[in-house]
Amino acid sequence: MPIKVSNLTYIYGKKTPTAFKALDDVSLELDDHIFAAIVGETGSGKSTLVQHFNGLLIPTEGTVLIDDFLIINKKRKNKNMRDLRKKIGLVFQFPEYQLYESTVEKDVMVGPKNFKATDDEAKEIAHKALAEVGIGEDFYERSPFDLSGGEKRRVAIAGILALNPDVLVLDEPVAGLDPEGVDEIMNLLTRMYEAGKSIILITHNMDLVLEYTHQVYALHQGKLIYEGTPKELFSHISDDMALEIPTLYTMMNKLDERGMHIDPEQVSTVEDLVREIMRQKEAV
Amino acid sequence: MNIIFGRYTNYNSVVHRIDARVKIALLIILIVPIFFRFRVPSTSIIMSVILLIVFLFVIFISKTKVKTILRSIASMWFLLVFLLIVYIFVPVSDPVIGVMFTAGNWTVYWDSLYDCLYIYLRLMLIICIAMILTSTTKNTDLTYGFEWYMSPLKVIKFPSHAIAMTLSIALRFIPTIIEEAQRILKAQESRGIDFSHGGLGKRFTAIIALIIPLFNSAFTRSDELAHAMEARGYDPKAKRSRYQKYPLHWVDLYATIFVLAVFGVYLYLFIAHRDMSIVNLIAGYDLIHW
Repeated sequence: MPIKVSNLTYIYGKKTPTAFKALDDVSLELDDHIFAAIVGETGSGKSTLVQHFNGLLIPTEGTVLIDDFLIINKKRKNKNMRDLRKKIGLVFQFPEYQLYESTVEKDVMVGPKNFKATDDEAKEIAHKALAEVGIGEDFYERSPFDLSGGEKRRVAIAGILALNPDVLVLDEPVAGLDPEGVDEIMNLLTRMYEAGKSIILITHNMDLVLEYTHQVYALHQGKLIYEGTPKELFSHISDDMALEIPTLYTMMNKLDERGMHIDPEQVSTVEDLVREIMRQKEAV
Repeated sequence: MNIIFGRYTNYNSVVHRIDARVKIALLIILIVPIFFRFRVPSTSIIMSVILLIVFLFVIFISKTKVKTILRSIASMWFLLVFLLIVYIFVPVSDPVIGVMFTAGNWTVYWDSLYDCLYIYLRLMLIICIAMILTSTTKNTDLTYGFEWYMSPLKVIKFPSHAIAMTLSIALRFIPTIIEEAQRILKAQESRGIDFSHGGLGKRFTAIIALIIPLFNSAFTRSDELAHAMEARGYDPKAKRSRYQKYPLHWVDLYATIFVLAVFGVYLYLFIAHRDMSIVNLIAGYDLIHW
């Protein structure tokens, strides 16, 4: 489902002494079936931007057009926002805070049931979603509050997957997870992408951006300062973008200093880098 | 949600500079005249309105926007309506002003209207007082003020410091919890839980989806805070020193004089029953025929 953002400005606490312009005239177009990342330092407006995608926030100025849903600052409230939320699944930062039911199974069933599924249907959908995030049957009857951090997060993500959204937007899905947990989540997202869904990811982790995503949008102080491929971004990165450099690029820079030049175009994973180094060594 | 209301804003005004202890005492003194009920109803109303003007004046010199406060007060009109309905249905035992209208066996007195307006006014006055205190005093100063007043109780082993600490932590976490609630609300809305539409039962179940995670995170947070305090060696029984000194200034004296003057006028009028003449003075003619 394409998302078209036009001249979006959002001001928190408008007409109060603490008014804060979080987004400033942002325009971008997200195509169908993409794996994109939104990056930028803390407070750059990333989370504010994605909250417009499912109508949680209404633009102060400008519009967001998703399919035939137009989100605009008009007095008349858009009643279809709930339908939009079914199509655009938004996973918040630390989604484990949204768990509240007595068992894992019931918690994942909340979403479908809110969209008029019967108990049996909801149960079936929930089981499927839980299987997708790798939560086994032995977890169904356990309380979500007894799970470990990574398990909670996967259950919470399953809660959104159960809505079967076309676009999955995730705000920092790997924050605070161990490397294994990070891999699990990223593999899950890759699977979802391959199954035909759009994945939009907010992250600080540039390694993930480089390895997994195809498009990247960089925000800085509420303004869109870059859109394009990750490789292009990291080869043109400047200090005022306030972005970190991926570990692989740091490595390549170090190798470059010692006289081994590696073409960044060829590298997006550790394996790629190893392969390139081996090739250069063989050539010598 | 209007969170700006009553939140500390760091302006450098006269009201901000008053010592927290003095401010607490003065505001308590100012609460007393709110409860003076004069014999003549119109005097009560007029005196309350005058008090409201005094409070708004104080709010004005504290650089807080009077307009936002007036708007907040006006936005509580539903309270007025609610009170009015209650007062109309509750029989008046001793009507002073007179009958508004009679419908069959049911008589509505002007007293109901007066009582309800008076309660509304007094509520607004109390809100103004609370507002002045919280919007012009830092949390730390406020806690220090309360702790200072509780310190004599140490003689009877009253844990005044622990209570002051609890209070300051509670105050500190109000904005955090509000933020948290807003985040959970959004996360649940993304799951299709509808907080703003649907019947009472539906909304009640929706609210559960907010309250349980909120409690969960609040407990987690307090647990973490307790651990962090222990890890840094916090001991509630230890003898404490202060980072800041709180000397009294001239401004504290001026404020005290101002408040005592206002209080004195009200007390005099209340005790001396000069309300008749006050009404005559303000209205210019004799209003009281009842």
